[in-house]
Amino acid sequence: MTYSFTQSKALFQRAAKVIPQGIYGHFNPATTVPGFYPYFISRAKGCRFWDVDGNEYIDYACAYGPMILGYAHERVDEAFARQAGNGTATMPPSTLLIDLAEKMVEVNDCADWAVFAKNGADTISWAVALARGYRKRDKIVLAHGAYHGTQPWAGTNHIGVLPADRADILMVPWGDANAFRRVVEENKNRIAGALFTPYHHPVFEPQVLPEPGFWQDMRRICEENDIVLIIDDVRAGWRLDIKGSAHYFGFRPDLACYCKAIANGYPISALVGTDRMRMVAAKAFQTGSYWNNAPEMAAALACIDEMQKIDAAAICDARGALLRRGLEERAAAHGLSFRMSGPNAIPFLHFTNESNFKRAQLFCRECSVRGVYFFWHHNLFLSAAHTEADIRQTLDVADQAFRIVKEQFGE
Amino acid sequence: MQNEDVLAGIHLNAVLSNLEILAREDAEASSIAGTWNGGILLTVGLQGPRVTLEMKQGKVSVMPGRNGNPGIVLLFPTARMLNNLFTGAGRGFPVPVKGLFRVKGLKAFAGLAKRMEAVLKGADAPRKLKAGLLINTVGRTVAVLAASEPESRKAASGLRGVAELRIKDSEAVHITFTGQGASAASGHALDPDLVMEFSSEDVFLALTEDRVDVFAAICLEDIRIQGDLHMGDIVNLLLDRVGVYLR
Repeated sequence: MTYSFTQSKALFQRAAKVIPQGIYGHFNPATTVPGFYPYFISRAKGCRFWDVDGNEYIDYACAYGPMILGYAHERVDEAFARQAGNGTATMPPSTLLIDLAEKMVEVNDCADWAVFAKNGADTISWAVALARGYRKRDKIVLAHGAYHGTQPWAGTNHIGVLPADRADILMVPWGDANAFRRVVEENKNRIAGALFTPYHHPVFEPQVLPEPGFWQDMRRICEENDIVLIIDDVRAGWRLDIKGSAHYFGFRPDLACYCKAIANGYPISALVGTDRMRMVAAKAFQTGSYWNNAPEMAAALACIDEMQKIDAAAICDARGALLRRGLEERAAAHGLSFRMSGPNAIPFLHFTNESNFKRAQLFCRECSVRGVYFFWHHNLFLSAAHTEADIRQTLDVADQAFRIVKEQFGE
Repeated sequence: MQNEDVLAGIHLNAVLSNLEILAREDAEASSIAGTWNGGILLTVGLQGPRVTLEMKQGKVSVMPGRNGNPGIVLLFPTARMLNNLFTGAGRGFPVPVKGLFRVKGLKAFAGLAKRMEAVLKGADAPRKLKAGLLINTVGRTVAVLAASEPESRKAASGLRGVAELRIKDSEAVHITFTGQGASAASGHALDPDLVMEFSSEDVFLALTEDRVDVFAAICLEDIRIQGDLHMGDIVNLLLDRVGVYLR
């Protein structure tokens, strides 16, 4: 073991005295391997960060997705800073609001209009409200294991959630168009919207890509039954295709929700929709104190422009392919059953001969103490800042970690 | 809200099993158990849940169902009456169907129950023993809930594998989830899918009193979680339900 985490732990003790969970929500490090992972960082640049103990990491968390061009990206940061100097939360808003909406309509395959908020959950709740308002129905269909935020209806929390919050939610397995059709038939004329991720990216499980024809079937069922098809592209958006993950998988939703990588880490999210959803969007009152902040919009414009210019999605895919191939080959060389599931740009690592994650935890732990920040419970993220040299360095570290897994588990 | 039948299952299968540990680890309890050799059957109604408690040379065994030919049979007409006996609330006297005059046995049983209450609730009770009894109770209660309480059954439905709760270098209990139900046993599992280890008796006792920020404690390594954290999520849900039934 080369890294120590003395400062991280001391700071966490300080945090836990005044902050429930110490660090709350999905940033809480309980799902890493505590004692072997950093809790606080001091700075980040490109695809790397340095923790408070001075340890350096190649980062495959990318803040759970927002970072796509690299931390402290000069062009995006400069755009943000320039606009911050001209005002942040102003009334009336800046003309950047129009510029960004036009940009979204230009680049996104299903966008005839766009509105903005701060978090993915804002736009998803907005989309659900629009679906109900448009169809004048109550029910929303979700997939088991899918994450759509911490709103009571989304099923992530068990604290403070009432049965009434989930009363109009119907659940189906992700990727099963027949199950969806059955639920639709059982709830004829009662379903307002179907909210799904473009592919299945649950935690604690391998990722599932859609079977050929799946999305076309889903689109058809929605059309036949007047159901609004909503895509939660908060996590995958921009990494698979700048035109949206729906375009990547060959279908057109009615509404699509974006966040995370839209501004390379600055807080902004977007809901886009097709023309037929425009009027209901025009009638709905949805707002937030900071939803029209101009600096984030400037950052988003710079980020989208840069992503177009360099074809960020293609870089993420290529680096992810290199990582996937390298990890699977090295694991196989050690006689280990290891696989990466999901898209190259957003892969999930797992050992195929276990369901309790013990090998994956040991592997990630040994990578962490050697400077590679992986997750065992959640998908990883590639960025356009990861270079081939970063991937090679990662594979060297992974090789050592695989050896330790082999020594401890044998297979 | 408590379900009386579920609570009766907890009292019979989780709380009563503590007498085994108590007689093993506590000289006073062992001495009480040593005053009588024989079996006591506790049963809820004629068809309801039941356990047999056996005392033999200062040792206690608690077995599900009817075992052998117990000298004393205590019938509780309803689950609520059994629960009242354990909680001290309301009317909780059983009908002594058999062994009314085996006064020594009844006295030993009452003495053990009193000693268990003193350890669990007493201010100066030995902490190691108290924590040992509580982790056993909690682990077994999780299994009873997963097997019989509708809300918990739904949460644990499809869950397969073994979860072990343990205090470092001390007591352990493990729960086996079968997909449809669960069972628990004292001690370590051979190769648990999930380990939830408390660094000390104090950490575990604080947890049972709802004084531990679990996520913070995991990060500070006061609680170590290893293995299937998806199972851990569900066990955590069930642990929340334990607090609904046992205070």
